[in-house]
Amino acid sequence: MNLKVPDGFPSGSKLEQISFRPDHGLQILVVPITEEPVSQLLAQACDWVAAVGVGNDANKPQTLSLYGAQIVWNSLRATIIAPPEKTAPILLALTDFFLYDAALSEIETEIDDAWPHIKADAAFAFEFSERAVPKRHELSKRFENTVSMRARLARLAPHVHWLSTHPATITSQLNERLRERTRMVSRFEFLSSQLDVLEDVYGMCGQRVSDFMLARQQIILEWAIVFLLAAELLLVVTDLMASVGT
Amino acid sequence: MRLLNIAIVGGGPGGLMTAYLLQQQLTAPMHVTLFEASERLGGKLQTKSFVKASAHYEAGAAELYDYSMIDEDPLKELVGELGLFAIPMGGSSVILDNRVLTNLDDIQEHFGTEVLEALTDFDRQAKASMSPREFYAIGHSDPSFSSASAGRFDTALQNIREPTAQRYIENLIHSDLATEPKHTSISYGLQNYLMNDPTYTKLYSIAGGNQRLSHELASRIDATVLLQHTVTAIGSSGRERVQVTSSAHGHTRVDDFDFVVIALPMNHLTALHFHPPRLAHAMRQHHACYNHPAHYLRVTILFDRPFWRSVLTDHFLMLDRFGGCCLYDESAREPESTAAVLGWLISGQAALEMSKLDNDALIEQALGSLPDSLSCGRHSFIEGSVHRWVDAVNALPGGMPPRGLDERHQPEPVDHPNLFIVGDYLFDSTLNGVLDSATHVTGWMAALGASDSFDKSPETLAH
Amino acid sequence: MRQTSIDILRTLAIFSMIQVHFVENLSAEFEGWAGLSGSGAAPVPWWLMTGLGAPLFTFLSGVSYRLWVTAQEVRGRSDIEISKVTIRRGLFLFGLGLIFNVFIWLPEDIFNWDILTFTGSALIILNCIRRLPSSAPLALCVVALVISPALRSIAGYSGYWEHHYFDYEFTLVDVLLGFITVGYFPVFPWIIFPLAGFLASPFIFQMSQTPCRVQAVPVVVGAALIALSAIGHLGSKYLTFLLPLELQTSRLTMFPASTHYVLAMIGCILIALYFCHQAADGSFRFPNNSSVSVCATTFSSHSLSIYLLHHIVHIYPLWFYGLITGNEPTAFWQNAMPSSMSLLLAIVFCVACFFLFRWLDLHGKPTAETAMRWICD
Repeated sequence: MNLKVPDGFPSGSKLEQISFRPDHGLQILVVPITEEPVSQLLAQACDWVAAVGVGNDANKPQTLSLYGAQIVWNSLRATIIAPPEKTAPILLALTDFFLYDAALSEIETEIDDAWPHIKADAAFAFEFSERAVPKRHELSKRFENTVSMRARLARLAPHVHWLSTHPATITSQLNERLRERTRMVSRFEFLSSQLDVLEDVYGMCGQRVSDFMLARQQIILEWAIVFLLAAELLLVVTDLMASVGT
Repeated sequence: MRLLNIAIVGGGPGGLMTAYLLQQQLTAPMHVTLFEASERLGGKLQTKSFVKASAHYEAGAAELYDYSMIDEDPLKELVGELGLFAIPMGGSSVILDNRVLTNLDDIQEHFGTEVLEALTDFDRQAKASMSPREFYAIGHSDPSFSSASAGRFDTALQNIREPTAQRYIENLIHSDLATEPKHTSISYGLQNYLMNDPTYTKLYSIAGGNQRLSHELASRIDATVLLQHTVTAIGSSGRERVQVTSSAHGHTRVDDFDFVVIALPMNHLTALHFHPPRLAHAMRQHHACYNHPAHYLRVTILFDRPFWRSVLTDHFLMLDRFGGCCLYDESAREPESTAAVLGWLISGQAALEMSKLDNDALIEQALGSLPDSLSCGRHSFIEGSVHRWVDAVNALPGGMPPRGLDERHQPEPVDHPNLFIVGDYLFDSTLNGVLDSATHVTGWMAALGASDSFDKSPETLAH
Repeated sequence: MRQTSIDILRTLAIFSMIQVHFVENLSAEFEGWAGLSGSGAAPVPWWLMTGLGAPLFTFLSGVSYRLWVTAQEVRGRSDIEISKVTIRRGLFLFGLGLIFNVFIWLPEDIFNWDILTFTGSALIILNCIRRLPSSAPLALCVVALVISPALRSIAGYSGYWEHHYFDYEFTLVDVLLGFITVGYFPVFPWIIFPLAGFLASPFIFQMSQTPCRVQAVPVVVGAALIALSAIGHLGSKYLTFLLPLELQTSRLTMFPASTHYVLAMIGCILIALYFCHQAADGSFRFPNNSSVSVCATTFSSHSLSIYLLHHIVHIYPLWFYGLITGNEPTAFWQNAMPSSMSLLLAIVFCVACFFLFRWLDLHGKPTAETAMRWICD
């Protein structure tokens, strides 16, 4: 979808909107290099990219230079300044990269949200008691979320652990540089380690809950038998006392 | 158990690695004497500095090879063990006919689809003929294990239908071959092509200079290091002992050793005198098997600014000058460096011929080889230096015909079972190869040193 | 944190108890009523007041105990400490009940198993129940409901109530049977009320944490219990093949607490508590300093003291007057004055109690509750 190009950029520039999810999109401005000095275009591009997400350090623009092409980006906007024949493969590489980077960021955010609960939930991984029974739906939901995150991370693995192609194309080179710059492989490993912790905790919670509920059912049946026997005993004793009394 | 007296001839990477590994593997008490003819240890590992600026550059071995993605990489483990930090290196650009080709898209743009297809065909065939594991195994195991032909590499290149594609590949690998394609095998040629693919090999250098590897090894070995001691003769002294004759400052000394390891470049072996005749004959045969000299010439220039960075951002690129030359961005080895240093690695016949020129002429030729888009950089010249490595490497490492591992390292096993040879030329002419060689020899010596077959005569005393 | 709804309902229970005791003990025979067995001679409003007080009070004791345990656990009190306090309070009430019977009534009435001894026993039983699975109280309620008529029948309940009050021989058997099934407030079936309160408490007072569909459960259950009691009472002639014998034959009686009675009372209380909670707790209508809240809190927090005091206030003058006039101490029991007078006295007493206990609270004076806390906590 072509949108209106911001002022100050040369003619021939295009602005594209790419949506990865209903709530997350990326604007990419493609600027073919002409007679204008690249440094001037670069400064303009930095300003345009930085204009969104002001105040958020995570949205500070980053720049990458690759064989005469300049790329400026943050999580919401990107600009490609390149010779016209290179813009298409660079756009492709950028789109591909951002798709997986956004997926990785989504998992990072979800783990950040889930992390504060671990300390409290770890107690249930050791011992589950009657008082914690109302919490089991919550624990179940968190376990499902953890499994979902692990599954999504596993689906990302082939794209994160992306083998360099040789002979290289500009698309592969840019992909490689972007992954290195954003430490995608390290982030993936960190997420995997964090998910290990979550899986351990909620897996054990699930085990404890399951064992407890099974034991509880057994206990309930046992107590039911105890109560019935006690009732019978009480009736017999009452009868005995009544007969002694008379 | 008695003290073993061991001599290592050569203070380069091979000798230092041998001494280091002996300390780790030999359980018997030992004393090591290391003979080095020059005033420094390290051999081909040389990290130098300019006079006019404190900018470092590699004057010798330029990079190390990382095989850890395929299997064990003892050299990378050793680097880590020594507390050294590896800096990844990479480069995929080739400058051909003044055109900068950084990827397949550039090739298609400048030379058309046919050249692109010819290159990709060659690449496909190369990978089909040698998998990463086979690539890794070559030189590490039985030499008969090789799926590639033992024919000449130039015959393989002539099968490329597009001349431009052929020139591209020649320029791409010439500096790694260090010789002309007709002087090396298909297998070795393919290896040097495939090592550009990160799935086969990755490159790295050592933070602070590759010379730190020899420094760290030297600091850890417990040996008597005799600098400026030139070994002139090696022979036997009876009862399975080896005699080493050396001279220093006009004085000659003769020492007897239980083991001797010769860790010299192949071209230095001819300077030694071997006796008795049996040993001399064996050494001549050994030399003949591996006498495929290859040459390097390094021209390194300091500039006042990195004028090439706007176009090229890799650690090195291939230049279609001097038969195919590797141009290193030496200052990119250290990301925080503000220096601007380029290094030309000229190889093969061009290196041999140009080594006769004086330094100024070489520097001028190097500056003139810059492509048109970078020719303005010559005005940024500050200082230049030249290092000549004639006959320093082997064009057919592993020998022709290839020999078994034991045969490579023990030239005369009958009367001189205690004499060993360590060298990169016995494997792949790299630091990885010399470590493999040293590992093989030290393991062998450790087994011998621990066995009962060793002489336990009570009259033998430690030095 | 006090719940205004519990205070309000407990206050109503106290008012009910005071009215019932003043009128019954001072005027029942004077008016020609058949006494506490609710034979139908007493007017219906009077009968309702008679019937609601004790069930409401015992139900609320279960509710309050559950809330108290939860609060102690939140404060980090250990399980052992909670048990110790509970058992001590239970024994305190049990002992106080025995002493009360001796000093308010007659020494031979020591084991008539009144509300105090029952409440003490119930506390100790609840302490044991709270550790069991959450369905245990419900199971016990059902078991108690089922076996209570059988126990009464086996023990020969009517034989102990020939004169419309509990009369027993001073033997171990009679004492035990009285405690279990034939006394004024025996364990069976009265334990059902505190158990039901203990069970219902989280449904009513933790509504924010329960799904919406669960919030209406108390009302539905209450309505169902009332309906079951009504069906049993009204349709007993026609549904004999459906209903158990107890439901077919018994009437709505408090002594003995028939199955109809138990079901209907629990149903009414559940509905009353639910709506009272909705209306009064956390609502701007009854802030802590409102007159309703102050009144309810005053009575509710001094229920034990009021229980003891109101007996002293209306029973002791009876005994003294009987002695002074040269008769038996019990000569004027249930026969002292018309019910209008006794009702008026009850209202005066309630008003006086309010001011008395407000004054005691303001000046930090000891009460039965403070004594219990001092001894037991």
